Amino acid sequence: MKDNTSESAVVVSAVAMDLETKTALAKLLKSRFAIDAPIEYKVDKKVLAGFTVTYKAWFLDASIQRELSALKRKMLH
Amino acid sequence: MEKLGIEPIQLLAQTFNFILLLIVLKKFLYKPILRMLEERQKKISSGLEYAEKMKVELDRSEKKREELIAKAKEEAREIVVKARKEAKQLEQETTAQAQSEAKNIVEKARKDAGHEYEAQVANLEKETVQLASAMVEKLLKDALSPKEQKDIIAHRLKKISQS
Repeated sequence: MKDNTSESAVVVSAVAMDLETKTALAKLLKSRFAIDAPIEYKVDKKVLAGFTVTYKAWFLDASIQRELSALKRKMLH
Repeated sequence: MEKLGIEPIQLLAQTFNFILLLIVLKKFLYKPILRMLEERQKKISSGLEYAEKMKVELDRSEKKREELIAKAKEEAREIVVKARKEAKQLEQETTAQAQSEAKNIVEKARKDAGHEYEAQVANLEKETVQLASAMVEKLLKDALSPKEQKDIIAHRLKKISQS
């Protein structure tokens, strides 16, 4: 990831994260995905259990919604 | 002769008269009658001959007529046989065609019914999945407490870090 400080990463979850979770997430983004940028946390009830991360064009869906959609596609095809 | 009462002169005259009468009768009566009888005989013979000829001709005509009738009967019989044969063949062809068409209609109906059934089943499956998905989403949103939501987030973080 280059120029990763010019934009912030946006984390959206259904409930507000506590400090411990936020710290663990920031550490994970940095170590696992090389994202060392400011993180903006948002709460959206539409996110179904879990969270999503958007950074520039990169998107991580760690919600149950993704698995549910995958299961739905599998059952329909 | 005189004793017998016969006079020779008179006898001679009577004989002469008789002969004269014979000559006259022969010339003016007997010959025409004979000629007439001969002509009549000829006419009768000719008539008989004609009748015989006509009889032969009639027999031939009758035979020919019978032959024609027999031939006509035979031809009529052949026509009837042929017509029956053609009618039977037509009936068989019509029956076969009708059976084939009926079979095609039944197969098409069965096929259409099968397609319709499959389409309905597929549609039902799709609707069921969509309904189940919507129900799960609704249940998860309504049923999960904030603590459970947080636990899930923590679990997800842990899972990503371990993967």
